[in-house]
Amino acid sequence: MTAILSSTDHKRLGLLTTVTAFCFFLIGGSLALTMRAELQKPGMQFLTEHTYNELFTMHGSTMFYLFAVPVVLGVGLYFVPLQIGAARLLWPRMALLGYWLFAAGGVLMYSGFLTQQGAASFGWTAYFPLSDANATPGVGVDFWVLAVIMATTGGLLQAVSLLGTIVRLRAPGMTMLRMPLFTWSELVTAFMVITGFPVLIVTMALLQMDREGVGIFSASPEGSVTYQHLFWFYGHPVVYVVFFPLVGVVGEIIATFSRRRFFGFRVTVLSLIAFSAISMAVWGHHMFATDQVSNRYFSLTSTILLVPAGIEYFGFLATMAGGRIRFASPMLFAIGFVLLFLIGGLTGIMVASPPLDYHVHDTYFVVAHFHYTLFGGTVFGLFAAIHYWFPKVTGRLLDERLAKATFGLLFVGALATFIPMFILGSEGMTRRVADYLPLHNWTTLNTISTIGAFTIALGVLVFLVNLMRSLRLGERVGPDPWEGQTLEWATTSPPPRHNFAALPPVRSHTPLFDLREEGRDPLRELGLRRFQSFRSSDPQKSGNVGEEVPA
Amino acid sequence: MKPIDTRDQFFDVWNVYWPIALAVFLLVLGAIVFLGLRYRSHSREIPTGRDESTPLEVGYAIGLACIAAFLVFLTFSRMPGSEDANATGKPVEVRVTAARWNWRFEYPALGYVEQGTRQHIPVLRVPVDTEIEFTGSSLDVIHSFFVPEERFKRDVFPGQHTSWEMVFEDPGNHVGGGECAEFCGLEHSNMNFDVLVMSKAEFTRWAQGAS
Repeated sequence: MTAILSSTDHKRLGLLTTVTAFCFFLIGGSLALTMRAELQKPGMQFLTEHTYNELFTMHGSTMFYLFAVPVVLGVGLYFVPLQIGAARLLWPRMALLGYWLFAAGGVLMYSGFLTQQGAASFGWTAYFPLSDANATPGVGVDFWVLAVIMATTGGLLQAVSLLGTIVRLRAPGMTMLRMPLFTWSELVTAFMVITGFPVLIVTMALLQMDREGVGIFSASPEGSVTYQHLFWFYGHPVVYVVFFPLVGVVGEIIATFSRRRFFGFRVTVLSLIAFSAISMAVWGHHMFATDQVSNRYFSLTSTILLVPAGIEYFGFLATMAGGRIRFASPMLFAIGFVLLFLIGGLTGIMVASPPLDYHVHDTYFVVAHFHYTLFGGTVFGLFAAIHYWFPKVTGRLLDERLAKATFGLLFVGALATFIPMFILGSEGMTRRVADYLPLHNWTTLNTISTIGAFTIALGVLVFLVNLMRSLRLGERVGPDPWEGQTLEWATTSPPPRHNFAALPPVRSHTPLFDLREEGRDPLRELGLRRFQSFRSSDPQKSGNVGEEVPA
Repeated sequence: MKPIDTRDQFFDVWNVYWPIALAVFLLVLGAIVFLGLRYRSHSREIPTGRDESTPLEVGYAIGLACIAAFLVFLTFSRMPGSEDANATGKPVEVRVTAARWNWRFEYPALGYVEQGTRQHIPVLRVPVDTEIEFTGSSLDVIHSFFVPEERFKRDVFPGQHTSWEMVFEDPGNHVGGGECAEFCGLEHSNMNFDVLVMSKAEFTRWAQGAS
């Protein structure tokens, strides 16, 4: 245990961060289930309003601060060094400290439930002056503020370590434009983290000072708007922080399972950079209804994001066109990501228009919108990544039938849970309400949504069963079960302590694919053929079937 | 100058945005289904074909930029927005004060105050098709004055006064027709009000009795 918690090996650290974040996902998800059960019909059934407010606050806080941000960084810590042919992380102890801060912050945030006045109950955004010591007193709230500072600092340290690794430790021959798409997306993400996260850390420190009686935001009536500016300067880039790395993963999965290079690699890299640059200038679209920001400017910048996002989508589709497509589970989750995130993206363009936002802002329409980006985007992307890289991390395959069942349940669940919310929001159901009036006739839609949420829960349960089963009984595979294109597949599964015995020449962003295209066998050339013990009767499951028997 | 019709403003944009969004979604869905069926293959052969095409990518980016430009143009043209052709008569002034967890509506011209309490859900009385000039403030935290029927909300802040105009077009008593949209603590979900839209004559009669 101590060995795991103190390891500076990027694979252990990355896995530890990812698994811890996934545990927080399970906790945050059960909070959501509790809320959905309460909201199924009007009237307070089994929760008090205070508990409900704690639940949605902790659900949002968990999913952002303790799940989505750490998980995209954790996956990056594991796979970025492998993809760039590095043996280690740069500044690994700093990244490890980042993990401790995040994990301890998570424990601290949840210990708010043990205090007399309970956990934080003002939403994950902690708008001022609702978050001041008068409106929301209690030591549990202080815990929350400190926990956000800790978790966010942790993420910042891990992102700095990733950035340093990418800049300093790339393998010989790996120029910037020869880095795989996932590494590129993590690099761009690291930049957004480094730009946005310090602002939140400082804002939270100022908030805590204000709670202790120092007049910061309370010094003037405009302080409440200032707080929103500072918060969203972090808060909008962060939604792309938890999305970009998954764009990278999904792009690589679609390329691998279409047996071709990602179409328009360079323009996609350019679009990621442009996207992240513009994303630093869109925060005000959260504040249209305040009438205290330049609504036209923020509407313009937010709508323009459809150009780089559209370019990425074009890449997804153009890669499939003319490919040889295999529909293994990672590919299914990748397609689920593309479709569900699209709903979030298209409705995102709507809420970027102030005349529409004046109505749907702070309603369930927005709740539905961002759950399609965060559940459809981040969670589906994460499941794609897990199903894709599980054999690399463990040397075993996940069970394909259970994986497909997981996909089906999550996909149907995502539609059933969140589509009704669009209608509820348009009809005026506001977010963060513990209850609603019976006269609105919202019970049917809310019931569908609640059933959808439990369908998602069932899907996650099937996934956990698959995970437990496959860790012990999963079919053993060798270095490269999917005929991957990037360097993480050029080593054993799981990789040894120093990652690589030998590296192939790096002449593009898909070094293994280059060799295969020339009719060469990357594994044989790297001396890894003897590890490729995986054989299967189903050619769809695996690329390397049949011809080569372990030597 | 005619006052802004918040509902028309919403639907002018909405009626263009949602068909485009639906069309794009169906296009992508159709493309994925088509490509999935067409190119599904068990072959291990590496397909030939280019993996970059600058003219195609540039053309596509320009197409996207045109869509973005069109949407921004449409949005901007509705800000401040479409005007209400039906609105006539002298504007009515209403001061909105929000405090956890209730509303107060003051009519300075009438000297009338509608104060919500735990027992009494406040009623916002307005004449139909008349410009209502709102001034809003809060006594504690941020609240948001939201009338879903009119497709509009505006935040109200402690220590600040914000103002906005609305026109109400549906006569009748809209029970629960107004809500607080900004989370404001314990009883946020109960912070509703009723919207009673009266005919102009009715409103005048009520105003005479009220003042």
